[in-house]
Amino acid sequence: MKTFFQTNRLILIVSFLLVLLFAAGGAYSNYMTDRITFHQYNDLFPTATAFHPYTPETIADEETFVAAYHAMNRQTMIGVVYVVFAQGKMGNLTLAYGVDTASDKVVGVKVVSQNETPEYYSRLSTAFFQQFGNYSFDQLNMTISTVAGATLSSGAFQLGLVAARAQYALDFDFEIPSAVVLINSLTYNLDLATIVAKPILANITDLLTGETIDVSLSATFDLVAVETAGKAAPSAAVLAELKSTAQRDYIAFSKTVATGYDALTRTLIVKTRGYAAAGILATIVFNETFDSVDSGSFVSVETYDQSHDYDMAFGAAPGIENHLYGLYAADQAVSAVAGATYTSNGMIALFGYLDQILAGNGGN
Amino acid sequence: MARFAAGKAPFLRIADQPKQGTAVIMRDFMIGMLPVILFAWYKNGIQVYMDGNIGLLEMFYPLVFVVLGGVFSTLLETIFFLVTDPNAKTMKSLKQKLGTSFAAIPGLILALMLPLYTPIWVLLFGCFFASIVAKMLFGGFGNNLFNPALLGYLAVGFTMSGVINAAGGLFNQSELLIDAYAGATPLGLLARLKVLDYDLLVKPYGSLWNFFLGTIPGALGETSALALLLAYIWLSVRKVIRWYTPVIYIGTVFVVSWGLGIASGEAGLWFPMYSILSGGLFFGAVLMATEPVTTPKNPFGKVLFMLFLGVLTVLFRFIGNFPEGVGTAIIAMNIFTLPLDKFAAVVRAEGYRKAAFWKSVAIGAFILAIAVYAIFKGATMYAAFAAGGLF
Repeated sequence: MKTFFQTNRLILIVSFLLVLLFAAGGAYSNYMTDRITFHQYNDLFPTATAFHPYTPETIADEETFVAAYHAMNRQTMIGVVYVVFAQGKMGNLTLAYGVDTASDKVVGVKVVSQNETPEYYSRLSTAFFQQFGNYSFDQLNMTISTVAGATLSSGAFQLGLVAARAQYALDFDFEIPSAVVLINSLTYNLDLATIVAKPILANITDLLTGETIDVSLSATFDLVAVETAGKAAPSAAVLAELKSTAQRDYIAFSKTVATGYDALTRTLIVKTRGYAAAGILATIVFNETFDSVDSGSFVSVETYDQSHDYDMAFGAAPGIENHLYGLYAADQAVSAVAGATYTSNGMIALFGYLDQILAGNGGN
Repeated sequence: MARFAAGKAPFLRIADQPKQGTAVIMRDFMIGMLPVILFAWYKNGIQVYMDGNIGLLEMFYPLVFVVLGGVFSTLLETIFFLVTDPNAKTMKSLKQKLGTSFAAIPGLILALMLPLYTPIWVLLFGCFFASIVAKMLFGGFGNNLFNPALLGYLAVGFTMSGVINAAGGLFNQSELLIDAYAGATPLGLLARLKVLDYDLLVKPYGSLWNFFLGTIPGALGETSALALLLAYIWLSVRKVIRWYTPVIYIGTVFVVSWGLGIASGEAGLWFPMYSILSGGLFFGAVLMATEPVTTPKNPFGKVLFMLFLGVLTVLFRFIGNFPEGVGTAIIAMNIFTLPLDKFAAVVRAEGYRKAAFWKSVAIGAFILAIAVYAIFKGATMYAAFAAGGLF
């Protein structure tokens, strides 16, 4: 043995040095990788001192689940981070949701990776991300405000939110709220006398009391009045769920809505959402029998004239609005103009709305 | 006209003169690499620490990583000598062998080509391939067919890219906070979008000035054209490399990329600039395509070699599957070093006789054909994607 060590002394020393450096370097690179996790999720839990990865006993959805971490403040767990895949426009986004285990609320979301088109992804503003701060899991519909022009990218955050809550429910025995209201129907109020005050009518079943009632709603789906005689207003929980469900399933009703009506001049003001948040303000004058429109004019701040795909055939706003109205008034087919899809769809929604009013008075 | 040493024998080799040997060349090469190493440390360590995005211990990692690459290669070569060479059993003989073997270089260069968060064991694996497989098994320094560092890099790239990404990938902690990067390097973004658009390819990273300085995402040592330019000037002045080799290589990529841009409908000079300042072109041109063993020795051979590298880089980069084309081009051309050198030697010795002339024309036509193919094939791909309404 002694001879062996003497003969191979140099090679043993060099090999030992190599192993030593390898081990020390390996520990260093492991430390670096661990620190990535810390830096990555630290702003979700600024008081956390470490993030410990863990494997849930049951995984809610193998396709969306990526990783889970306990956010630790020394020895105390202060929250949990779920990393999930969510389908965007150009593929999966990897999103991390921080959840405060004491309050069952999301404290924030962080984008781990994404392949979205930069031009559109950049539309997700700080305000968009702020809506995830203090977002309670204790609501039936996990709705968020998506971003126009980046609908699929922003919608991915909602998908991720649902996936994170499903996993949270399994890991922490959290009870996902069940439905307390059923929307049987939701329609426009076409009565011109009340069309502004009560733009939307709904027939709902209150699952807490078992009663089915008619209610009128505002454009933001808040209760205006109970329309069924002798019935009291539903509870706050029912109304909150009614609002969030309607925002999820009937969002188009809030985008095209009457905002003013003058019976003397038969003039209806309708706001319809195109691309710009301000919407397009349409002034529609009905004929005397309310089965046709006499005129239509538009106030619009749409920006389709800045679109690369728009050939400026109808000029800047409200060029396209006037053009589409001309087609509508002449009973011709109305289709979207290239480069102004949002504006066109807003106008098409307006014409559908008007058609319902006219049809109620025998118009075609 | 061919140039030969006149006079009577014996001749003394310059390399055998005091202060002219391989040890001096190695020292000069190491000094040339200093700006690249220091910038890699500054960009991925010091600057990120100053941004407040990492701790003090993390700040030193890029530097330790690069140094470890050199140390690993040296130790691996030492063990190889001890095991295989009966004349290398003492410290003195080992020192002599390592001194003429450029032992640390493959590991140093390899480390600079790898992403920041490459695990150390992956670095060791790469160094083993670079120093033992690509270099020592071929007979050691002077006998290797392929650029050792590059072969190590390809071995790591083909087998360990998933491991590297899982460990953190190439973005430092400051770069991770920049949404505009969209998780991609400039060339990665081009490979994804297939659109030649300044706003999409350059603006997310600032401007071409950022590309030149190197403040863009990329492997540890490949992002800064400025640092590599300093290395180039030093190595050229010290005659460690021929000044014209990187110039021809980068110039060819510039011209062919510009042609591709024009054929795609984007005639702006920004695109060829983007092309030469992205990825590892400067790094490859200055530190790898100038490697004395695996590239031709004759000037004419070097010129042909660099022209081939230029057109192949554009071909692999813009037509191939992977965003980077420098490493693949150099490895591919390493195979042709010997025939090119032989041909160039014949031309040097005999001048442009009829046969050599037509062979030169044939080689030139071949290079031109690759360039034309790269331009028009690339133009079809990029134009088609743009016109097809990617969004």
